[in-house]
Amino acid sequence: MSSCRTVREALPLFVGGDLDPDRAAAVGSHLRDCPGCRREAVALQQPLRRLRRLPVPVAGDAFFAELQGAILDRVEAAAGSPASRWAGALGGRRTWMALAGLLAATAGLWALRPAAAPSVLQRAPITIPVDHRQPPLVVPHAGPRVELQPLGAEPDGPDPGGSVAPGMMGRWRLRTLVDEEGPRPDLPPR
Amino acid sequence: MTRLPLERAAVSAPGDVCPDLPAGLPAAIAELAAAPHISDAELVRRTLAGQQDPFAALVARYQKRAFWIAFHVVGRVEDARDVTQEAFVRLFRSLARYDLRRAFYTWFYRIVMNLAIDQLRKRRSSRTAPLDDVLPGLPDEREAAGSAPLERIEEHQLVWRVLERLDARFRAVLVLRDIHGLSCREIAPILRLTHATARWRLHRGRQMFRDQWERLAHDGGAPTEGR
Repeated sequence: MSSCRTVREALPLFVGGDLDPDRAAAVGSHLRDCPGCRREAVALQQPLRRLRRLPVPVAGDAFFAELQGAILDRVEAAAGSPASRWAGALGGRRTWMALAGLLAATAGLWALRPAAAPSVLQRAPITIPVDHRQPPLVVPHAGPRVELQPLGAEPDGPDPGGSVAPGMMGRWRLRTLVDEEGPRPDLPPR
Repeated sequence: MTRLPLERAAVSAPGDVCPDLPAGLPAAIAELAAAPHISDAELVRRTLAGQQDPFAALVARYQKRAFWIAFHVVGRVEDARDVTQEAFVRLFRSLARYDLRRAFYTWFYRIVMNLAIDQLRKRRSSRTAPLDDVLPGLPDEREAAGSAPLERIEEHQLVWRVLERLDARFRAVLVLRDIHGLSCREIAPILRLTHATARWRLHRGRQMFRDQWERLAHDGGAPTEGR
């Protein structure tokens, strides 16, 4: 025998005939013996019965004939609009399959492309033949004067203050401060 | 507001190939729409092949059911008519996506329900329409005197007021199950729910309908049914 609690849980579906036959039979059997649950069932059934009797508007043939015409007019207008033409063109399964195939082919070509050249920073320095007879390269500078000399061209032996400056044009030794010119003498002192 | 007389008309079962068709259709369209051996899927296939009459036959088969469903969700003739028209336009635009192996009415009803629920929510959020304006057009008392008892009309108005207070999710399930007679297994795919969720919403919706009914009946004096 079902308890009142489980029966009341099932009542909203029972009154609409939405329980499976076994469950409905158990609930029906309980309701025969339980006035409290029966009252609850009636309270649910009454408004439901009214809802199910709710009328639909009885529109005459003219109403639906006019509706049919209005629908077809709107569909015809939509079929002629650019958006619809695009939708029609893009809506076909064949179109989508063709697009998918094109995408797959593009992805395959991308995967098979030749390996890109390494970055400039990863390349070995380019060796540039250096003519040691040339005078040192003087870098114009607003501050202290510096000289750059090609590596291996240190006439006075290694300069402890020098530093090696690698670059794209070869390896150069930076000779630090040669002298300090200071402000030009024709400029007035500050 | 458009006023239409109300009557409990027979609602065709979903999927019926030959529902009551509107009068005045061209003979070719009426013949297609009424042919029991031509399925909805076949009409869709012919439409996609470029023919026009099969789509007109689909409209003839489904316009009344679409209108009634929309009407019971939105509760107003003008809105239901707009929803029905828009539903067929969307149907036409998305015909190429229809899976011919599936039930056509499930797919089409989903379009109708989505539009109707959107319309209902839009109207509720705008809060511009007074309640009386969203109730369906009812015949005036002179019409009612000859056709339906006044208390029956009051009862219908009360049902509409209760429906109006329900959340759109529950109202949609009640409309499809209790007014249009669809089963929960049919309702679930239309509303994109699981079967269990559809049953739960039906269960909860009926409880809420009863609660609101008793509240309004207590306030306004609903007619009671003889036991």
